[in-house]
Amino acid sequence: MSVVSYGFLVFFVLVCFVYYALPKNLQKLQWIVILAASLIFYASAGVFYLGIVTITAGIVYICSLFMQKNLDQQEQLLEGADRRSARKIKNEMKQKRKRMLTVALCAVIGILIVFKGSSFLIENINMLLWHMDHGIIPVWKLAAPLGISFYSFMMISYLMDLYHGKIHAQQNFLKYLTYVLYFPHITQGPIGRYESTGKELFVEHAFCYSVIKKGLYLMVWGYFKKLVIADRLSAFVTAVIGSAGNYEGYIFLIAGILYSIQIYCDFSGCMDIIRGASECLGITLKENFKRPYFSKTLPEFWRRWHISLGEFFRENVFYPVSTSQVFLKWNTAARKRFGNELGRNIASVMPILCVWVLTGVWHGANWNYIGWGIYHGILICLSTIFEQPLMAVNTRLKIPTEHILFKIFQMLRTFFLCVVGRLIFLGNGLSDSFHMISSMFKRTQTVYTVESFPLTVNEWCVVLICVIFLSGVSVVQEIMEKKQAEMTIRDWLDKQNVLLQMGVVLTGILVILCFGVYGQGAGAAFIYEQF
Amino acid sequence: MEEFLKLLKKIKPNVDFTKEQALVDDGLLESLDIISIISEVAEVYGVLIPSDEIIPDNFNSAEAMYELIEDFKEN
Repeated sequence: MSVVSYGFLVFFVLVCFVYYALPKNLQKLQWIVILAASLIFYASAGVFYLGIVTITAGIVYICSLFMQKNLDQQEQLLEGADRRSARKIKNEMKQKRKRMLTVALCAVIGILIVFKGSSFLIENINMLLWHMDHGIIPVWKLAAPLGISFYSFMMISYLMDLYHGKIHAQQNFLKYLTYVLYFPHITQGPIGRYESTGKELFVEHAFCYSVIKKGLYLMVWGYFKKLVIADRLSAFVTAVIGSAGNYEGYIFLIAGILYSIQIYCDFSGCMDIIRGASECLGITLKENFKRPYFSKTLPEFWRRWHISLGEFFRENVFYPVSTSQVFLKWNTAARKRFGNELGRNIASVMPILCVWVLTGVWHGANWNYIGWGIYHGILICLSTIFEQPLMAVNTRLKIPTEHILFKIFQMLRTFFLCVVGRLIFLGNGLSDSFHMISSMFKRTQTVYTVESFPLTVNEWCVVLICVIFLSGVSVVQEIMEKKQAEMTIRDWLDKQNVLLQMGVVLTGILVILCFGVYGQGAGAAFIYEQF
Repeated sequence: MEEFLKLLKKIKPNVDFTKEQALVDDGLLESLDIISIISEVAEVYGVLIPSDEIIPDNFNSAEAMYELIEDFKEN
């Protein structure tokens, strides 16, 4: 059930109704309404897949209980211990917890690899075997359960937090399952932390008109981004990228730029819809985007795009790899050889590349995604290494780096680098991507007109106006954040009179109804739903 | 502590480690600086700080970092 279907809207209204209609003495059971709704939501994608998620959640749950038992023992041992001996006890107990953590991680990652990576691995092994004149392993094409990459990472995050003793294990399996299956976040994240979402899921939520209203504003904004902009652009991008061999020249630059806008509106639009829906139930989900196209550097871009995935990799890959003995020695040696600043940047190359190859693989076992990950990894390493030398050059040349025009130049530069990355991500095979990128600035004899593509002049005008409007709103949000305004646009709207509030919401709905791409068979599936 | 402050100053000369109490929260120390501090601590004191100790509370001030090192020295 897609969140942009009529079915979802009816389903969501019914869930809200039952959720808030529970009598006061039964409100503590609101989570059961969420569990039932999530089971129906997930089962609509396939009962078999629901079984897979439940089994995985069961394994994690059992291991988490053992880890909690260890934490309880640790608590007893810590009674009366001074700070230093407490640290010693904690380390010893942690070593014991590690066994259970390993079992659970193997199960979660193993299931993830079977569904997402097995065919890629077998195909590549077969290629090697073919070169060595050996037999061929049959490839199994397994359809992955909905949101497997997202819920697997949420489970890993839960296990890691428990291992570090940051949270208490959920003792009730059905409650844990509710957290995993929670229908707003299971398909596309955000990759939340149990500490915040878990707490909010299991407390009572009284009906609050203002909270629901704000949730609805966010949902309308999300539907606008997805249905009016992303799905309209999708027709053009699919036409060009789907038959890249038939095109050449600047059209790929245009396709790359438009795909960058499409994927942003698609993914962040989905986040707005699900965060808004979740807010209507009184549960706040983490923000996953902070206007990434305003970033001046690539590292900044990745701190503002898919924030929860970035945080996951920083905590669970970058820090552990960087603080391993080998890399610490390398760090020391590099700083001695090249000085502190440059040395630490050079030493960080390998951990950064590890993170980026894994980020690519997370999107799917496919050479395009891996290539895209390596591309970003290399650029981020270069950006880190050359940050100081470039600053020195700017100072020497007296370039006004604080001037707005220079900042706009930096934003456009970052955006362009992302566009090239998108073409690697998008191609049907790496050769397709190379063709698109190398052809991007070549002169071409072919003349493309509006008629060459599925969108009409009117549709282009609608998209253009909507993108300008989206950019305007984003500029306002940027300014409000820079000025450390305590309220958001939604808070501001909530303080206005009812007529203005109604006017804004109804105009939004009207724009979606008039200019959106929706209905049976229309529109495109969410891009991140496939991950 | 004096020796440790010198170590920090060597890594991040522009930061006043004697006064700052929110090094991570205020963005004065970023992830690569923290890794450098951990590597320098491993080199100078022979103390390995595990990655799960990389939380803002442990790196927000020179005192917090020093306390962390002292704890791990004993183990």
